[in-house]
Amino acid sequence: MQNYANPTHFLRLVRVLLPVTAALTTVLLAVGLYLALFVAPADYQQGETVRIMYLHVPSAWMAMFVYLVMTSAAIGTLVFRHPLADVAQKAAAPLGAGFTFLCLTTGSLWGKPEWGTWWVWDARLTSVLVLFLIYLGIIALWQVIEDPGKAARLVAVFTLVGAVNVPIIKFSVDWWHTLHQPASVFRMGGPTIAASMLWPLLIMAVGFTTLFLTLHMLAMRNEILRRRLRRLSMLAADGAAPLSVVAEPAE
Amino acid sequence: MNLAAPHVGFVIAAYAIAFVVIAGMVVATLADYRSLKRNLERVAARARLGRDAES
Repeated sequence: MQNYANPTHFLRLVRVLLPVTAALTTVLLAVGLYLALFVAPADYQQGETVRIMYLHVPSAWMAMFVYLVMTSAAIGTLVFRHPLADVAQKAAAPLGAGFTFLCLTTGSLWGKPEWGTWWVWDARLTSVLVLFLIYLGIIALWQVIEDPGKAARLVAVFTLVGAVNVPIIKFSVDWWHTLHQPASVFRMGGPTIAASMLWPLLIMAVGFTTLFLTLHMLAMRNEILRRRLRRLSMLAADGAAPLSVVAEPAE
Repeated sequence: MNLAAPHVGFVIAAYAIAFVVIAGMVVATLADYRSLKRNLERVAARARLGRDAES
């Protein structure tokens, strides 16, 4: 395991794992979409609009899951000072922002026909919006600090502070009176959703998770190459780059 | 899915936005990889040229 913490070994591992996770994602999302759109029944109250759930709920879970991945990586950066943890943090942020944006927009499109409004400033919606703004802040921090090591440490501290928002999102529907419904899958006493709706939802959720893993590996590979390019350019500015650096494999 | 049901436009819009966002993330990541690989090859070729000229 320790071997794969080396960026070059990690790139070799990515080359092996990528086709597997990409194929798994394609199959899971294809099956999940088929079940969600053509097999799962319409809701007796919401009708067809319940089908938005198969996008909204997995993207909401991913919005929080990606942040937890970033929090773990932030600990790796601050405690172990490992460059691969820095890379994992940076690569995850835009993906987390994408899933959170998807959660907010699909939620809004679900809210209009069901609640009669696109948006309401209740605890759940507001805390997810705060999560989106935190993601944007983290992306901005990476952009404005030139030294990757310094940026990683600052972002790690910011990420750890922002992690307090994740339990607020999860428990907001229990702690405050909100328009948003309470948890109906991960709750004490088991899920309250019928199996015909629960299975497509779980398959879509696993599909979104493998999608994130695939994109995260790709984005981490990009970041490793970006750092290699930066190092090469700096060496080139000082004189000719040594053969050992030039000869490193691109993937 | 019943396309004649009320509010079905919201469902279609949600899936369309999801497609655009996910496709955007995939395309951006792959385009970034291609651009980095191209730049790395260019810098490596320049370094090799420099070394050849020195020897």
